[in-house]
Amino acid sequence: MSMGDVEIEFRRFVAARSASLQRTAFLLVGDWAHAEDVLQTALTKTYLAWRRLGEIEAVEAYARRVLVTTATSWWRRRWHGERPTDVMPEQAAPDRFEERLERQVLWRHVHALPARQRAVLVLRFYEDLTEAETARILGVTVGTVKSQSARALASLRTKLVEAGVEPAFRQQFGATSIPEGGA
Amino acid sequence: MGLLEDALRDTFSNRVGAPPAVDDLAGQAIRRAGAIRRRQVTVASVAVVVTVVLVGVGMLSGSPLAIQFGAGLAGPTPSPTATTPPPNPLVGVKLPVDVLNGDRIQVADGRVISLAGLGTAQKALRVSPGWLVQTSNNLPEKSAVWLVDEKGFASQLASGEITMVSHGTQYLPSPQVAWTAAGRLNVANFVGRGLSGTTSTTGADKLVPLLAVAGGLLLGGTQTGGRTDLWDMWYPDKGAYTSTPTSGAVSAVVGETADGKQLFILDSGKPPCLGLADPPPQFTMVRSTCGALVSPDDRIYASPTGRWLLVVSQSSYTVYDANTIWTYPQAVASGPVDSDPAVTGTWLNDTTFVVYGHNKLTQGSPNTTSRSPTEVPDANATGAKAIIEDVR
Repeated sequence: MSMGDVEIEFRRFVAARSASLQRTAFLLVGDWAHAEDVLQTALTKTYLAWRRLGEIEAVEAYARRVLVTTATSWWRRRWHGERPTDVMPEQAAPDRFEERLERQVLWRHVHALPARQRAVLVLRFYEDLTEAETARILGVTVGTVKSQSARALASLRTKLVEAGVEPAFRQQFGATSIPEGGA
Repeated sequence: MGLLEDALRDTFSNRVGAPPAVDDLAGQAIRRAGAIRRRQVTVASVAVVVTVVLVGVGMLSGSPLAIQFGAGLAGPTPSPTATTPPPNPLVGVKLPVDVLNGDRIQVADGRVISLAGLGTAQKALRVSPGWLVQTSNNLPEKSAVWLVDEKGFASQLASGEITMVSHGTQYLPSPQVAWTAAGRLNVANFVGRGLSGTTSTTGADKLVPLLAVAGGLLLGGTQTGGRTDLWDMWYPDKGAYTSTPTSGAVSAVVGETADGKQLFILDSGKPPCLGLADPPPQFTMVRSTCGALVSPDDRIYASPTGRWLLVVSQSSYTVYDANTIWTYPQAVASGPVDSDPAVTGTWLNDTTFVVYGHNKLTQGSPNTTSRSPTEVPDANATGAKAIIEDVR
């Protein structure tokens, strides 16, 4: 495969998959500017590795893995405290004020989690990956994914109760309570 | 799924919305990749002028094509030409042989080639276009053999349940790659930049390829789930595999002769005695001695002409004269190796050997005192560590 062919295939891949990767990057790092940086880094590494990756499935898996690794390592280097919620992104649909408020609180607490725990939540509950798929991308065992997920959820439950948003969640999602403690 | 998990799904999907448009993402990535490649060439050229030696072109973890000087892609907004990269302690260390050091190859001339992204490297061979690297990804079916060229480009040659790279011998002049996939055992020669003349057979699904010897493949299996205790041969040139496994008489195969025709084996005695034997199923013992101390975990490396035998164990090496070992098994050289469960060795020529264990390379010769060991940098690299045999 010539360099020209590689470039054409890479451009096709970016056109097809960059929006999805960009969204994941945003959830991992918390704002669009940094998400773009992380995505650029992941795409550059993917392009450099293109020839040995072969099929498009391998390319996407590689890109996603690099993206998560870059995002979590970037966060470790740069983030030193709780990040205030910034400008709300464009919304997919009109939203009730109180629902938006609850999401905002939850979002803030998600981003106060350790990078690996946040990555597990994003991969499991945004990407809808299985525990095994999540483990593969993060390069950890399934057991680690389970324990990180349980810790993250327990921490969020505690924070939400402390923040007094439990009633709103109960109303919004029609449940009787948010259980405290472990998953 | 619980309430909080549902809330997370809802929150995530509402937060992302429509991502802002970014101008020419692909073009930016391509340009940055080009800058990294140019820097790789520039830094390497400058280093050659300054030091008058070939110095290392390294690879960034996660990218086999990126250079390992400086921050590179480590930050979210790298500026390839804005900073002077700090010196890399891995690069420029001259070694007597290429070594596999976790997820990188440390080349004898000082270069460092990253294997990141290929899986867990287990074994490597030096071939003319670069290196053949055997990797696994925890799942056996994800085992693979790659050709990694001098610039770090990797292309996958084969994958399967088990993949094995075997070195060339007088009998098998080109390196051999054997693997099992979909119930078939396959073997091919590495020629040029790829595999050639693949031959397949069925019926060997409980055995794995261990070694190319005597014009065929030594196969091994286990009846107990532990150490290999079942042996057989498959000769691809003679057609399909015919099952004639043998067990009992041999407790371990610890090496092969320089001409690749016979095996060094340990018999099943307690303690086991060393033997020179024909391949299975007969395992006909040609010579034997109970005076040379060799255990089932040891490995014997014959010198290129077969004159000397280097025995490496987890904590020592011993050299024997192949002409006298069977009658007068007296060591002609020996020394300690810092304890390591996976010590490897090789011969650089017929009078110089190298042993690699515990991140130290010990070079020596028969009948002489070994030199002080050479330290291989980055003792914390995880993964297999082994001498890379040169089969060019």
